[in-house]
Amino acid sequence: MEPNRARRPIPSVSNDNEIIRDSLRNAPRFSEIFERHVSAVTAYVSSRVGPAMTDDIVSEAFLRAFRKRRRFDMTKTSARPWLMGIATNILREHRRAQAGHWRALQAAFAGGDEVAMDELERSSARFDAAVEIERLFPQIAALSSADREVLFLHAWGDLTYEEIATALRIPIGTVRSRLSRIRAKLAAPPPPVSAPHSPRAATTHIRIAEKEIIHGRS
Amino acid sequence: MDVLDSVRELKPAYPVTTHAPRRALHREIARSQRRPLRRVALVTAGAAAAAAVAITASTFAPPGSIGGPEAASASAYLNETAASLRSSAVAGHATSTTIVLEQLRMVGGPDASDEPFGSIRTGATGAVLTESSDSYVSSSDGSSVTWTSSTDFHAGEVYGDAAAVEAAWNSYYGETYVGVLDKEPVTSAPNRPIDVAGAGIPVPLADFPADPQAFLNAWTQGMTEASMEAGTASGADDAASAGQSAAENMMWTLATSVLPYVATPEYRATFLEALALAEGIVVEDGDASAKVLVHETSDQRFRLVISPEDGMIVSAELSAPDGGTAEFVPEGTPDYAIRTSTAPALD
Repeated sequence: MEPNRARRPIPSVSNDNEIIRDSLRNAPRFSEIFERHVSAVTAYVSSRVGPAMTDDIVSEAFLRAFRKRRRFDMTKTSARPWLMGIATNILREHRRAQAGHWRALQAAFAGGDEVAMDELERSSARFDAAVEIERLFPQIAALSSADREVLFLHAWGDLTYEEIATALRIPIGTVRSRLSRIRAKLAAPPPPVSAPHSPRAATTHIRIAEKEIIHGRS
Repeated sequence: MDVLDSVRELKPAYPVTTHAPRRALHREIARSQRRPLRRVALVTAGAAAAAAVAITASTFAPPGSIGGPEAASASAYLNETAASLRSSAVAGHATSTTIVLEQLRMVGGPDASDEPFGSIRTGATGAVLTESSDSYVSSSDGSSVTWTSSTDFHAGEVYGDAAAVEAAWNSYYGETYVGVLDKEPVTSAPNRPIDVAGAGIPVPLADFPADPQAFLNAWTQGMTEASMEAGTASGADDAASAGQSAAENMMWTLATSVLPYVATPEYRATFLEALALAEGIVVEDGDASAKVLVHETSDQRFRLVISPEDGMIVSAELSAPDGGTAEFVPEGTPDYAIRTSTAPALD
């Protein structure tokens, strides 16, 4: 997010790399990086773990970024992919919170939690949420953790393919192939269960996936 | 609707604030500024002189060489520069180093849509060379560095469509401290010590191996650890993306960081000796007193100008050839550059 230059006395140079380089000798300049990207990072983190853990994870992400800022690739003009990568690293340390939040989202849908449902309904206004969520939840949960990171950085973090490659430090071709594979998996019919369309079967599938998330086996 | 769009629609949105992360960061920034200047262990004058003799000798007989053409190799020039640097340090004078950072910013190009400035030259209509500079005085014993002067970021040379550059600059910087295009930059005198010892380039400035090969090994290990720390993918993916060579990483550091220029003479000399052992650096021009060394990767070109006689790194430049060309930009103008000059100073 570009700061409001008209109201802010803090100078704004053209790109993040200039600010980070300047912050190596003038540390307070790094606060401008924070102001530019905190909204995007916070929105992404909260969508992955819910609001309760967000403060801690976002704080840690920016502290790590500040301490490691001299390792930022100064050829990159935007720090957002780098920050998202750091946040993703920290999110990995909170697999249980991720799983709990995922379970809460699913439960909110299934159980009709008014507050959460309100959020879901507002964000899902343009399609039939009931059908689509029921179909997508278990399929997303069944993805590998590496695929889920790419999926969520793309769909919830609003990063481009190139930015995801930077954030995860993987080749852009890997990002393309993973998203292609993810798209095919999510578009495919739901995995067969003993009782098709049974809520219990879907829930069981999610629980297994959650255990995998928690223990890092996926 | 594409299934990925459907996933996008699932994103929950919560009311969150950023006060706590902001407070935490500001506390950390304040804490970092209160850190005392750590003293750097110094080699004795005798040891430095002995090392200078040793390195000078190696200049004429570098490892694996039999004399002759190797005398004009990049490693020979780097070792010679290191030896001169040590000899100067033995003399024990305080030194003022001025470091100018330059960056070429393109206007009207394909990557200048969200912001008025980009880096791709092909298709751009104008360009501006930005500058900022700082001066540091290193004490005669090399144990402290004082930041003595700072000239704010400002516009230098303008190339191509001057009106477009001015419009872009003024719209972006006009209301900031930088000001409009033709505003004279402010120069201030901070006059305060800086903490260089705590700096975290791959080999810490306060604790480094004296042996060049050990230094190079430590640098390689440090950059690999940094890459793995920053990485978030699987081990195999990390290994592939962390394929930067030591030479590339060291040249990149020289072109983008002031730290190697304000380190102790011993650190700088060892750095150059280690760089001399790294692979892939060749001599572009060895005729003049200032020698031009280059290192090229698949997407970047580094150009290092050193003065072996003076023991100085004159400039370090970084360009990305993938950005194409713009005929209005003078040939040889890099994307980034650090240029230095030194002068005797009072302690």
